[in-house]
Amino acid sequence: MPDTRPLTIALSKGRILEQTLPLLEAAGLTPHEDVQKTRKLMVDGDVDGTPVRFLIIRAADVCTYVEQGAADIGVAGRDSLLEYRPHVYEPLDLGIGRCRLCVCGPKALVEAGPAERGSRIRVATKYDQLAIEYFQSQGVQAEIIHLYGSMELAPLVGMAERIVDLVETGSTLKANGLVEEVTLCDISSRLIVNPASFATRKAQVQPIIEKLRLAVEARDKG
Amino acid sequence: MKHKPIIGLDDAFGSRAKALRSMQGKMLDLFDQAGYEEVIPPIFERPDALKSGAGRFLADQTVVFSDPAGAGTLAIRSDMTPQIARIAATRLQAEKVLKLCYSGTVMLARPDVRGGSRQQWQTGVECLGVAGAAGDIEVMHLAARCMMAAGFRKSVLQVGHIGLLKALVAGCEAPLESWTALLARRSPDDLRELIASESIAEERGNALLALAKGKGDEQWIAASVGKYGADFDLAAKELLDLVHEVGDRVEGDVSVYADAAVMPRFLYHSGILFAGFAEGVSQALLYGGRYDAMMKAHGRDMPATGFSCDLWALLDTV
Repeated sequence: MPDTRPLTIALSKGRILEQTLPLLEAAGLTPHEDVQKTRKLMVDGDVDGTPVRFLIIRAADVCTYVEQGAADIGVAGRDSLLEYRPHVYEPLDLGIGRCRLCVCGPKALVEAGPAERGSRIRVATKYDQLAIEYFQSQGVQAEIIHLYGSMELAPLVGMAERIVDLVETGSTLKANGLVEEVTLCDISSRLIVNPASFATRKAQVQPIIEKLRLAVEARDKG
Repeated sequence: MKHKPIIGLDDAFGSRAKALRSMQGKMLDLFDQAGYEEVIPPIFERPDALKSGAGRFLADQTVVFSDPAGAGTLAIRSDMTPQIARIAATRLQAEKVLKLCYSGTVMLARPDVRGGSRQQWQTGVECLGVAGAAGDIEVMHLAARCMMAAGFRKSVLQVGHIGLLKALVAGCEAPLESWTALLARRSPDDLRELIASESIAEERGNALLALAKGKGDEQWIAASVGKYGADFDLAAKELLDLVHEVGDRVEGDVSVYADAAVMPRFLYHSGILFAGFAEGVSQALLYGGRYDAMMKAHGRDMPATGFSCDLWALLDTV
């Protein structure tokens, strides 16, 4: 007997949501309310007439909802996937929310050269693991100062020598006298799937992946 | 509070302790009825006994310490299968066929999942000395019954074969674990980068991408026979025959299907692999497969297959 519970799809709030909606529409996934305007966190919808529901949550929480099985499918940034390494499948890069994960610092410090091998520096970031791994690979001992936002402020007030953060246009860095030192990796948003949902609801999940794949390909060609 | 509980280690008491014992009783009864004899190995081993043929991941997950009684370095088991292999290769070496079951705590150096537990109550069976598909069929039927006995009404056994991947990446420089790590995440975009860094034939690269895209089903496997060499064909035939055999006779509402991208939890499997899932449960409930190579590494060359689950996880999800 097929599973009749509606599939649950977790979407990231904010800028990513704006870029996700055209792909969902092209793949036939339709929320029944304007998810950018509603204050509801759970919105009903359908995929070609079959009920689904959408969760509208913070980008960093999408991995958790999908890993825990509270959502079958989600749209999550590669930054969160690399940092938290959730047990989820990543079948499709949606090519949205493009930016870079970078090490940045005050212009004068960066121009003086990378942190010396064996030195100890303070790094403000919300990507603790990725920052530790990078500086370890450089022979630099990083004291991680975990922040939840506005990393650019930390070097300005003398709390850190470097930051590790997402950079899109670089305008916030520039406005605060910071420059990029190294790009660690390119970031974009990915479709993620709970492995158990893939195993037990493959007949519902796989067609959605394929429709989104076609929507991404059509967008990239067009 | 003088002695705070250690993060990642739970205590069971009250109704939860009762429920755990009850779940353990159900599993051990089931295994006993199927002819599996219980073994109770110690919680410590010599590190070599746990690491022989067991792959790097398991070694990374094993806590070692110096024995104050002078036995040298000892390790706390992070998986009981190597202990069963050690017992079969030493104390029980006179018996040609061994059907053993076990239920005990294993300790991981770090949690398997974020915020998860470092301890598992590993409960499972090992079927040793039964050649060919017969052993795999037997343990997979038992795995299906195990999920039913635990209370899961609608389950799935996803079956793969590590030989398929080994055949596709034969001759590549990247170690097998690089491929299994990417396929475990089913990430074609990351896999594409690894393929590009290897001098791998385009057709094989496309086959790997098909696996990551979730397209490695029975039809794909059957259509791929004859394209990637004798080792691939052998694994494909073994997998397809097994899925039919198990699926035809499985009890209860359990679906059995082939998926060439099923990856091992630990890298010691050398043949068939399977993972058990149930509707509404967020992660795999059990893992199993064939591990003849580990037996060889323990000095007793014999066929071996089995599966295990974590009682804590079963109880928390049922």
